[in-house]
Amino acid sequence: MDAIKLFFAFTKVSFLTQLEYPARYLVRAFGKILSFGGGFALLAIMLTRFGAIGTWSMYEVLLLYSVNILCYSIGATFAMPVCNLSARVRNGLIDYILTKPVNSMYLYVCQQVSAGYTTNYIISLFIMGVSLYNLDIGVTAFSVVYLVLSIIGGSLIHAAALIASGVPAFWLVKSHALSNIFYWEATRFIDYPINIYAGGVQFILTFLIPYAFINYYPVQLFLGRADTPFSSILTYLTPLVGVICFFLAYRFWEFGLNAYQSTGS
Amino acid sequence: MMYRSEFFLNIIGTLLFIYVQISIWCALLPSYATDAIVGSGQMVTFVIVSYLLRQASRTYFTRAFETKINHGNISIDLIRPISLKFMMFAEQLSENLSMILFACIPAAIISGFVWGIELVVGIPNMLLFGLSVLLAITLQFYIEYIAGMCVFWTRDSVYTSQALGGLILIFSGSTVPLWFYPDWLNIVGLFLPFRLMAFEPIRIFMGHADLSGAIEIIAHQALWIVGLYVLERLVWREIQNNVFIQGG
Repeated sequence: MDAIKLFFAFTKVSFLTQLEYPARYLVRAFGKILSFGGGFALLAIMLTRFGAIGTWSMYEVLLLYSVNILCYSIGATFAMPVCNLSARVRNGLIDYILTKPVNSMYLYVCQQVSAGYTTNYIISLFIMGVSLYNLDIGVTAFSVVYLVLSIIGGSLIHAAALIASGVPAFWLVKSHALSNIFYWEATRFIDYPINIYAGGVQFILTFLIPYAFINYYPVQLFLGRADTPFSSILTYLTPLVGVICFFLAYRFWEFGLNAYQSTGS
Repeated sequence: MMYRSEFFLNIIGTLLFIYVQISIWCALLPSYATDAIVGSGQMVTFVIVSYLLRQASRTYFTRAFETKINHGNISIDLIRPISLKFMMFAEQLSENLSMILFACIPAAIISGFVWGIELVVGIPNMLLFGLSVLLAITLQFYIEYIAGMCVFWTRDSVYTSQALGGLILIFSGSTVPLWFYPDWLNIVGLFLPFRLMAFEPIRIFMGHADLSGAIEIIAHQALWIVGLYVLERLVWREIQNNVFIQGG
């Protein structure tokens, strides 16, 4: 109970801080709209010209893309500070966290929770709504529940990946290039339906770094498609995969924390 | 040892990026046989050249300005006998050059062997391409430098550069070539400098612009650079006269 209160206290501070600087908030919102809107715009330009990517139609691809952006935004709201861990290791914030009687990751995330993703939620939910409307999908209670569960699962996968790319900072290894490939380059693959890639790449994205579960598999179920390369059962697994990934990332964090030696600053 | 692994990882990262782009074009182009402006071989060339150009012209000016402003170092830069702009351009250029030499060129050669790159133009066009690349880099540096100076007012580098990044993404035609854009968007783009930073130079490389066309592109770039130079001087004077500098 206290833990939840703590979370809301920090989150409130974070959002109120943001509102203290309205001009800055507007600049941020404008920047986000242009950069994330730009991604959507390019995809829309491509799809209006070509009609479809392989067997996927325009609104199906946009739905796929918006689910990914939404999961990224939710995951990053909490986990982006962990991805940027090295800066906090250097300025000694981790020592402060370790001296408090609360779970270290929980406190760290609460304290750093970001209020900067509100525009992302709005853009991605808007595009998602437009795609669903144009696809004319019959909405049932089951599909809504499943969509919500999948988005939670997908957000957990994004969060886990962000955590995993930040934790090596505990060993004070500058692993910029590695985390760049592992997260920023590899998640580019799921901007598009993964059946356009070679079989080996699909395998990696499913079983080794399971980013395909963020959008490709769950969206299939929603669209009533069956483009799944390995087994149709994969379309149901996103929530489970999310929980497993997050658990592994959490263990990795604990492992890193045990190896951590303060920088003494 | 650290640096060697970093070197290989950068090459792998580049290859991944190029692979995603090529896969998407291979999926799109077969369904697009009606007016074939380009085949998939030419798209591969486009993807690789556009990647090299983007790496050569990337900058961190907005972030550098924010650090300088927040820490107050800018006050020292203002009284140095060498121009701040010149210093930042030179620093960025050398950084980009090392990235190009040690990650992008090796990756481009590998992808050239794997997917095939088409060299169609003769030496005169190649020289003009080289010149227009230099101008494209200068153009991008000027635009980002001016955006960086705006941080004096916006006080935020991340989102200033994100906003500019969005405009460049849409109008430079480096990800989706401008052939595929709807006409109205291309007309808007004609009034902006961004297409001269990527799409037009690449067109010279691909042989889509003849000699006179290439010279026209270069003239356009030069005109924009002159215009941006004037704008930069004006903003700079405004900063020197009216900006409040934090104590640092």
